Amino acid sequence: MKFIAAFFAAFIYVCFTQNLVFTGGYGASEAIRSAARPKQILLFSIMIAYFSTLTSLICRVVLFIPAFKNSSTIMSLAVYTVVLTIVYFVSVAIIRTLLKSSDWSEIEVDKFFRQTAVASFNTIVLAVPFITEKATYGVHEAIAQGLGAGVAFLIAVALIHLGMRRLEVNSETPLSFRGTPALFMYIAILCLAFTGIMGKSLFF
Amino acid sequence: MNNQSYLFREVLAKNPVLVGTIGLCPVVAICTSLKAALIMSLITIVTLIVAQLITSLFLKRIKQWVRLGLYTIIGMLVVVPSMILVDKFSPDMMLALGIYFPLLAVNPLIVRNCEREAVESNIGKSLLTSICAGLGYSAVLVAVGFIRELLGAGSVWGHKLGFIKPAEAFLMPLGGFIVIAYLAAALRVYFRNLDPEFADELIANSRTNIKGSNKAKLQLKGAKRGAVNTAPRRKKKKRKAEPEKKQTFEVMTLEEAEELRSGSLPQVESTVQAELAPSDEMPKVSQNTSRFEFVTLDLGAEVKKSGDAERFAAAVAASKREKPQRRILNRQGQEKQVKLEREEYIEPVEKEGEDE
Repeated sequence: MKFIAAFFAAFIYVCFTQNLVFTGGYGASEAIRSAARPKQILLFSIMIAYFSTLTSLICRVVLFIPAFKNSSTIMSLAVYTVVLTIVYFVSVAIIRTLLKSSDWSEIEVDKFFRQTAVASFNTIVLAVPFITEKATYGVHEAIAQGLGAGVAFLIAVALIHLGMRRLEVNSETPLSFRGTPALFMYIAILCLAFTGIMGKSLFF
Repeated sequence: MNNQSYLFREVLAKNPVLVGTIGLCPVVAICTSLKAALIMSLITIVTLIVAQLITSLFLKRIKQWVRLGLYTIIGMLVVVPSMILVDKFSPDMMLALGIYFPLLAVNPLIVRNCEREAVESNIGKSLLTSICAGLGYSAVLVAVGFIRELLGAGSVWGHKLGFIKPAEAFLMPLGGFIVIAYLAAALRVYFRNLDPEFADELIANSRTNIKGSNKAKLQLKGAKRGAVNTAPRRKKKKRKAEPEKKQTFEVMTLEEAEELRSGSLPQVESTVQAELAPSDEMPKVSQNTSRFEFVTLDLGAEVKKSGDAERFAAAVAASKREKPQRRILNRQGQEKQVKLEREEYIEPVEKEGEDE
């Protein structure tokens, strides 16, 4: 019961209380990119959840090895990057084998792998093992952290996409703020909302 | 933009953060002071140069999915020595940068530049583009770092300025987004003053536009007209401006029209031609104005008049307003003449397929 409670506490914390995209800025550019491609939002978020969960879990297990226990940030970076790269290559190798029997064209396969690479090598995925390490989470919490990162990303992308749709048809936006600047402002407001949950004093 | 220098185009017009919305995490999260911004800029430029050179030299022939995995390793190989150096010379900064520092290894700017530039071009060009992209990114980092330190901590390069009351929000990601929003808007204003067409193009092709949607372009048109309507507009096909020229009307009597219909009159000799300037209300004909069968516009459609002078005038005026595109009455086309006979007068018909 204690494990389940800790699991959900870590999950909710990452998704809502401290949404990684809005309160930490992790994966912000990928979130904007995905929000502009509404058809790919779910798939991309699933990929993020998959890579962050697997990387977080493996990295947490690696930290049990005495040589890597209490290692510096520099050492952690080297280990986590190698783990993430291995996870990527193994996943791609498996998917390639599975796709051989499918009727996907070469272009579709390439496009899919490009997307896979973007989903695996970004700040939100690499940040999860670091957060797990800093927060001294256990294995179950590391999994919750990874899954939560995917859900947090999905929430962020959905909110950004909704804003994008409204901003696109709003002709009252000043000409200089059309497009990217207005979207940045909108994301800043969302960040403000999520930061407010943390109960921080923001202005003065 | 044609006359602008290559450097200008690469650094400002293709700015990774303000135009491309790439590599936002370091900008909004860790770029909270000028010192941090400079360290980050230096590491980003070095990482970009190294990654692009390695890609340009060794990774061109490797499959893309393998290459994409190797960029992170390259990034890590540059960031690790940088971290060691920063830890040695400025341990406080190392602590301040926290877990964001190692995340520079997966900066999407590296992947984008390597895939777009290094794979496609030679070493020289690859080096140049990496420096330009690094400078563009660094320019934003330094500007954001300076502004956020000033407003968020009330200091510059660590020196407290007494007259500014710090607002902590600027040290958080939300402050970073606000600052880059204003910087992006300032860049737009600069481009608009320089080349309005390019500025419009920038909005229309913005990376933040929803893919497959033309709403941004329409919204831009709406803004140009000064419209405040938030409803999406239907796309209108642009019509080329008609040159100022006079329209010629061919007017014939009922008897002549009958002969034309029966085919016995190959060419109407007694047709009266009346020139009509665009500003005129209706054609001015010199003779046989009492009863006319057809009025033929040289530019296109015809109207039929049967006795009623007012309706005749209205029909001509309507045909003028609409600028008809299709000729209804053809002297060789018997079928169309019969069709005309059945109706009192024919409104000009637009070309098929034309929008609105």
